[in-house]
Amino acid sequence: MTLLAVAALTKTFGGLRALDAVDLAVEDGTIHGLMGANGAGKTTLFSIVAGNQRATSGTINFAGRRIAGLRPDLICRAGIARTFQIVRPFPGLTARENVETAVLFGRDPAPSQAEAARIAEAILHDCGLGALADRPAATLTLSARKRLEVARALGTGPRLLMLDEVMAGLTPTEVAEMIAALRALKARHGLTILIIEHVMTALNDLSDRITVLHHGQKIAEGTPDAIAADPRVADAYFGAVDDGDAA
Amino acid sequence: MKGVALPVAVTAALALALWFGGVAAGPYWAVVALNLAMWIALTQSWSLFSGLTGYISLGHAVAYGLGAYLMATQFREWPVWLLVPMGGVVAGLFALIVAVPVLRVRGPYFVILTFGLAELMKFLLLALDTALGKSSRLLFGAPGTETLLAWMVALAAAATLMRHFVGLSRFGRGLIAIREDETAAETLGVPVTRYKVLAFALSTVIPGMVGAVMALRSTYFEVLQVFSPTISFTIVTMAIIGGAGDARGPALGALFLVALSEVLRGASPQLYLILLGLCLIGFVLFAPNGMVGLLTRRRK
Repeated sequence: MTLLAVAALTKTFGGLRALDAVDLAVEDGTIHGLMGANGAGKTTLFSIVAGNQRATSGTINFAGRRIAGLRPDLICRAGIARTFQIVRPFPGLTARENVETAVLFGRDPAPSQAEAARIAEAILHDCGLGALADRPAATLTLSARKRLEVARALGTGPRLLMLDEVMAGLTPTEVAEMIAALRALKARHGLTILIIEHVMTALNDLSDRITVLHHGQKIAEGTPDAIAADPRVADAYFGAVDDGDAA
Repeated sequence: MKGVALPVAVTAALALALWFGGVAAGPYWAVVALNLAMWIALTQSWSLFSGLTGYISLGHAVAYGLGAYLMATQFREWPVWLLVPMGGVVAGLFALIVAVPVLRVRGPYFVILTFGLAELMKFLLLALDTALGKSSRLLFGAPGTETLLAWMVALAAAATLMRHFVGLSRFGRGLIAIREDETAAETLGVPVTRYKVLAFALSTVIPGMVGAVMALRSTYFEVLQVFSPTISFTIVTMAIIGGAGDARGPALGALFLVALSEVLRGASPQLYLILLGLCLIGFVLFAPNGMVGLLTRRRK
């Protein structure tokens, strides 16, 4: 079953086409990777699906419901959670309060505060933040703030979790930990994951399918092996060597 | 329910002490107590919105002024006990209407916009009064100071409890999330616009009632006085000095400034303003979370 279906999604900023008629289908229960060079339109796609930006045209269906143009808080409660590439925790609140806020507002119907505290505690533990729960978010390391970003998204009780470069800036050990953690979280929470990642080994390792964006257009889609062998992908990343219009 | 009885008991005890102290110590101190209660009620209300959301309003004088204006113009038409709550309703409705456009802007623009709006309202009503040929009004037969003190203390207690319980509620936690990062809050499911509008309107209800009561107290009504930006500035000063992090801050800030002005009023009014400025600079630089922040830090 297709959980998220994006069709002919276009976003223009003045003359620039950040997204150009992009189609994307994320199957329920899978991990779907999204790759592409800087400026390919990956984060713009996330922002539009999550409601932070409006599409110029195109449709978005989530679990059979049209969600394009809905407010971010309604999309969140419908079951989509995103993280931000540049993490944005509530800096003055503790890690625990950050996650509790997500649990209190991201779920429909809203749990009581006592219930929310219990759910948040379990999620903090799952994300390896148990020992740091009562530290203000502003004092956490980058690695911990990335995990907090994931924990907060999980707090909203999503069906679809959209992760925007949660491994960027982490050490190889931390990347390995994050991959293991994501697999465990996916299994435990019954998640579907759409993930943007520049750490290619991580993306290949995690993804069931990968979609490649280039200058706002979808240029390839398939299994990690097929994508690795696709000449169009190599062209997009390393430059074409054969045709005449390359600058 | 846990944690309800204690704050209510403490607030009620302090309110009774303030009222009894004001009545027992004679007319002069009754007026001081009335002033203190007024500033507590105003600053707590302001903190409900600005302290929790981080949107600094410089326009709360409008709520006070509208309540006072309603009382001054309708004093003969309606019973006083009805006009006081009506002052709150009028202020709240006005805030609800202006909130939708005003809360579209953030940061310094919001501050300037609320200030501009307050000045606009002041001069609009001044022009209206001038056109009607009524530059000032006298209110004869208003209730005495002791009655007004009892009302004002009740308003201060209500504002304090409202600030406390809203801060701990789900609604309050949503407002705090807005203060910390509005985009993140919205993405995590907080209905940010509805919450901001609601908190803004809620924070003007008691100031509207306070204005209505104070119109009775001064018995002499002038638009320039009740819509004075000094009211808004004083509220913000008290909140900064006391701290807007919880319900103790506004009460401490109001107590500190009222006490300071009492001590120095006779001796040297200029010294009061100089000290006030120094305190404000000192707190902003060295104790941005106010007196409450200092108390909390010491305990840790």
